[in-house]
This record gives sequence, C-alpha cells and structure tokens, in this order.
Amino acid sequence: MNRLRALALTAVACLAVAACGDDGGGSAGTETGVSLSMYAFSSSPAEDQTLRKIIDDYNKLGRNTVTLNILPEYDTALTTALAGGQPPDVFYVNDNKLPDLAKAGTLEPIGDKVDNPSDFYESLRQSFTYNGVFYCPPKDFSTLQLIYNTDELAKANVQPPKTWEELSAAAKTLTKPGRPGLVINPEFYRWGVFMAQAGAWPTNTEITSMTMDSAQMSQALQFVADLHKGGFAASPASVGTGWGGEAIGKGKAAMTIEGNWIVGAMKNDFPTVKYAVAELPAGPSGKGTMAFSVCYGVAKASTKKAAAIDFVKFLVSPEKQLEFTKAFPVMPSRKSLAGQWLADKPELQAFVAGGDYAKKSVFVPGFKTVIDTLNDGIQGLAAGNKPVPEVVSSTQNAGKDVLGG
Amino acid sequence: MVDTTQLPGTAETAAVPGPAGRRRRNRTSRIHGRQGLAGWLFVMPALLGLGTFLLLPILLALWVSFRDWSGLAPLDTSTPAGLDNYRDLLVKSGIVQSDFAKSLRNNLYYVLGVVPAQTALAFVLAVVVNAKLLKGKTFFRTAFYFPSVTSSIAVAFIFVFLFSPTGVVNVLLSALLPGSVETVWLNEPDGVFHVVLGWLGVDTPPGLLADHRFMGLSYWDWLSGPSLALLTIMALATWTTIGTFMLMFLAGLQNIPEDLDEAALIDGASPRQRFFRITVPLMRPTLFLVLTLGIIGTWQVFDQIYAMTSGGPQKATLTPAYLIYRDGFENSAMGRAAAIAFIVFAIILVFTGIQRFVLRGRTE
Repeated sequence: MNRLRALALTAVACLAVAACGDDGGGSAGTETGVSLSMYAFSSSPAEDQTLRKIIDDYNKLGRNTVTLNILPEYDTALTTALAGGQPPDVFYVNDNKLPDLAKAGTLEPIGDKVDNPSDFYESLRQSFTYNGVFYCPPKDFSTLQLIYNTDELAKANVQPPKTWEELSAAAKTLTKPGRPGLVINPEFYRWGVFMAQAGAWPTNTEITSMTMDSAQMSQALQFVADLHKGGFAASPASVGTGWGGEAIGKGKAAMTIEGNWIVGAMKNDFPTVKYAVAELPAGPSGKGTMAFSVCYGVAKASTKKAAAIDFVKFLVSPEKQLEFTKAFPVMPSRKSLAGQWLADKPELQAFVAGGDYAKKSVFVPGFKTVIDTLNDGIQGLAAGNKPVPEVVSSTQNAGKDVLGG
Repeated sequence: MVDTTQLPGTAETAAVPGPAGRRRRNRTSRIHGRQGLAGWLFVMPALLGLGTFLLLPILLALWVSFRDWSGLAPLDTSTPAGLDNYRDLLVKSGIVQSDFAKSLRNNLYYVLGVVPAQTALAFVLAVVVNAKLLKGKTFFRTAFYFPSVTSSIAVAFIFVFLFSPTGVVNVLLSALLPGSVETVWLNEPDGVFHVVLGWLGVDTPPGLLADHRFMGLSYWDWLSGPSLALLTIMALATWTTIGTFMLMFLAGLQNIPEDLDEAALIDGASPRQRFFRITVPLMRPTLFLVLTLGIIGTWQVFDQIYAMTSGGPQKATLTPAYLIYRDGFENSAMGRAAAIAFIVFAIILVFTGIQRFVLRGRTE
C-alpha cells in the first residue's frame, strides 16, 4: 500500500514539475550573439526563398542569429504568441492590423530608429503611425492599378481608359455575351479606388467621423454599381473564378483591378496570357488608388530589442530592400529606390506611379467590423440586390458605433 | 413487451436499511482513510488532465467573456467589461448585434435542415445495410462511411468545384431542365423563402414584418430561409456526416434481439408493424444520441464555412462559430468571441433539452 502511494505521489510530482518546467527566461544581456525569432507569412514561394536568403546573409555577419518561422494561419499564430506573452522578437505586421496591435501596446516604436526614415513614402509612414507614433518601418508595398489583356484590347481597338467615361465605354466594348469586360472583387480594398477618384472616403482624414453620406461617395458607388447592373462589370465569383487575376488568366474578363501580386501569379499560373498594367482612370476628383503594406514589427515584450532593431535596420537598408523586392515584384518602401527598382521592369511603372497618390487603407482599432459591413454592402451592389443609399447608411451607422458620434 | 426489458435492476440498487447499513457506514469511513487517499492519487493524473485541458480553459473563457481583451497582449492587460460583451451581442442595437443575429438565423436554418436530413438518411442507410438479404454489405458500409473519414477541408474544395458555375451540378441541371442553368451556388445570398415569395410577386415585405425587429433584424429578415450558398453547405454537411451516424444506428440495430422480431412475426405482425412498433422504439436511445450529437455538431459548424465562403456572400453563411473566429482573431475582440461561445453553449443546452423532452414524451 505504502509503495503504491509513493508511486502515485511520484507520478503527481512529475506532472507538476513538467507543468512548471519551462521558466521562459531570456536575458537582456549583450547585444551580439543573441538569437532572435521571427514570424512571417508567405505570399509566394519566391518571397520565402528571398527572405530566407536575406536572413542567411544577416546570420553570416555574425552579430546575431535569426530563426525564421513562416506560418500559415498567420493571424491566429501571432495572436496566440502575443496573448501568451512570449511573442517572436520580430514579426510581419499587416497595415490594417497595426491600429489594433499598437493600441494593445504590443509594438515597440522603432519606425524612426532605422536609417533615413524620411525616405519612406509618406502614405506608408502614415499607415504605420498610430496616435502620432511611427511604430514600424514598412517592408515594401503594393498599389492597385488597372490590369488588362493586351490582345483583347488591341483586337477591339480599345485604348486603356483614362477617365471614368472611357472606362465605361471600354468595359462595354469588351463585354461579350455572358462575359463581362471588367472584373472587380466586391470589397472595399478594390472598390475603394473609385471612392478615392471621386474624392470620397469612408472617414475624414483624422478618422474621427464617418463621411459615407457624402454626394461623392454615392456617385462613386453608383458608378461601379451601374457598370455591374449593365453587365459590363462583375465579381470574380460570378464568372466562376477566385479573383481578378484568375479571371484575366482564364479569359473570363478583359480588365481587372489588382495589385503587384498579380505579376507573380500570372507568371506561375498563366504564363502565356499577355497582359499589361495601366494607371487606373481618373475620376471627377482626379487619380486615386490604394496602397497596401507590411512592416517589420518589434515586440514590446521582447527582451532582445537592441538586437531586433539591428536586424530590422539590416532588412530595410536600401540594398537589402532592392534585393528583396527584385525577385517578386512588390515595391521598395523607400522612395529613393523607385528608379533602380523600375530599371529592369519598366512595364510596372503604373504601380510605382500609384505610390505618389495612393491612399492608405488603414483606419482605427476595431474598424474591421465597419469594413465588413461596407464589404457586405459592396457585394450587394455588385449583385444588384442592394441600393446605394442602404449601403451608405448601414456603413455610416456601423462606423458611428466604432468612432462614436 | 418492450418496456419490461428496461425494468429489472432497479430493485437491487435500493438501499438496504438495518444492520447492513451500519456496516456500510463503517466501510465508508475506512475508505475515507488511507485507501481513500490512495484512490484519489490514482485518479489524480486523469483529474489533472481533465482539469488542465477541459475545466480550466472553460472557466478561463467564461472569465474572458466578462473582460475587454484584444487577445493581442497577455490576459493581465485586459480590463473588466462587466456584461458589455453580452449586451453588445444581445441587447445594444448596432452592427455587432445584427451580425450576431444574422449568424444565429443562418445557423438555425442550418440546424433545422441538416439535423433531420442527416438523421433520417443515416437511419434509412443503416436499415438498408442491416438487411439480411443485402449482398455486398461490406462494400456499401464502406461506401456510405467514406465521406466521414475524408478530410472536411478536402470535401469542401470538391464541393466548391461541383457547385461552380461551370461545375458538374450546373451541367447536370442544364441537361435535365429547359434552358441552361448558370447559378453561382456559393454566391447567392438571398434567402430561398424570399426568392419563392418573389416568384409569387411578393417583392417588398408586408409592413408588419418589416417594421418589427428582434435583435436588430426585421421579422422579414428572420424569415428569409437559408440562402442557396448556405443550402449548398448544408448538403455537404449532410453528406459528410450520415456515414458516422449510420454506423451508430447500425450498432443500435444489431443490438436489437432477434427473438423480439421473431416473436412479433409469430404473432402475425406485418413488416411495417415490426419496423414501427419494434425497431423504431428500441432505437430510441441511439436516436437520442444521434440527435444530440447532430445538434451539437451543427451549432458548431466552422470548417466548411471557413474553406468555402468565409461567411459571405453578404453574411449569408455567417455562423456563430465563424463569428467567434472572426471576432477573436481578425477583429481583436477576444472577450466578445468568448461571450459568443457561451451564448452558443446555452443555445445547445436548450436545444438538447427540448429534444430530450420531446423524445421522452413519446415513451410515456
């Protein structure tokens, strides 16, 4: 009996020890020879490869050692690590996630600690600024522009449209029975370009109040909704494709609105389809597009911040940025590199041009529910089962819940 | 005949008064001594396991549901929120409430469609596979069970192809029906009841239904019926789950003593009578199990939604389980996500209770 009890006690003791075995330490200590962990998500195998190579280069310098974790289900993995209080030292931060992360106090403000921070595009700096603090340096960026099938436009004798009227006309001409001329994904992160071109935006510049109920907003939404109603534009899903690039690749549309990522996708999936990139047509208020970016965040909870900053400095140095953005065509976040980047891919000039007038697509913490509601409405406009005023008012009200007033 | 089989056994467990009772008390006190401790130690690993992986997380989640927590920083950074999370979801009108209401509506139609369908089909299949005269039983059993052992994500993608505009389903329907069918199944947000009423000329909701609201949705919206997108997912869910439930019914069927059937045969009962008077009543415990598991499973539908529609189009396939993911990991509102989880927990309890009540009511 006693022996049994001793045995059981030992078992319990072992369990207890196992549960508390990891003390999760980490020394602040010296600056060199530190091992850092990094979380990243993957947009393409090409990006993974380049990132791994650049990290190898850094490790070879002998200052610190970086271990890279490329994670599917990135948001879930990062949230879990942050909630557990042991986040990676350096991690990718999607621009639309920045306000939530900054508000939760998880990011060390390092934006201005890298070399020459004023070289970053102003809209990108703004994307990663929350409450006046520039939190993290942008890694690279993409803009939305008009992608078109060159053969189709040539055959139909259509020039890439420069105005809304020309866009309507071009979409009409390129539409065939059962196939629209233009395919646009029904979400704010595509339709937003028309808002920018009309001089409208969901919120004011300070993001303190909703401005959905402006005449320009209705004009922009009505313009795109009418294209859909006429059958000249459609969502990728309604032509049986997943996104605009696939629609172009499979000949389900002649034009679409996508960003830099389309270049890599077309090369992989539809290498024979000829396409080109043009700047989006100008609306009543001139040119307009949206920029998307990712930055290198350093965790506030990290005990190795000095080393982490050293690593991020290396990543956003001009030479590494050029190397990083060369293989898969996102653009360097440093304005001074635009010329060099374009040197071997002049056909992507339109994307770079967008950097000068692109609007950031970032709002405030908790704004995602508003974007969801707007997307819901945009899907309704694309499907033709919701009128513009209803979309405007539902988004306006959803925004008021978040912004107050 | 049936009910008596359940009777024996109850008398034996009744407490015996008198001297035996005293002796038992003595024994209990001894168990509470050294042996009791040993007993506790022996179950300790299991208790620790259950406590760590089941009880603690549930209690923690309950606590989180009363906190304002982004989930982006350790839990100790959260602030007390009182009942705010529950209030936002249930009472306070706004986008949070109407999204939650939509998810409840969608899931309600999902449960009401999938649970009866999967239970009935599974039962029929089990009876077929159990038939004495059927040849190639093993083949059918395997074939019917196959969808259940296939990864749900893989099945979801197959369904995406089947139901695409140029997919097999449309090709088949085009062949059978006049004209060509070009429905984009997973992109249809309108409730089928609304669609049918639209055919009958009712395009705008009657004033009564449009003006009254419950949880931010008008009665008209509550009564929309499932969308085609949701129906597609319901078909998939039914198809993948009937195999598992068929196995449960099969086990139940094989537990029915053959002599009962034979006795009824001698008494002159028709096959129909034997099925409805003997098989079905004896299957009630299995039916209860299948319905309970079905209700729990359908209120937690997540993976198919995640893989096929992400809650769209126009929130027509939003479900509470998907909303938990969206709020917790995308919208950084972990407290609210936890609150949704507990509301769903309550709903499942209520539904199981109702179903238990209904099934028991018939025996008495």
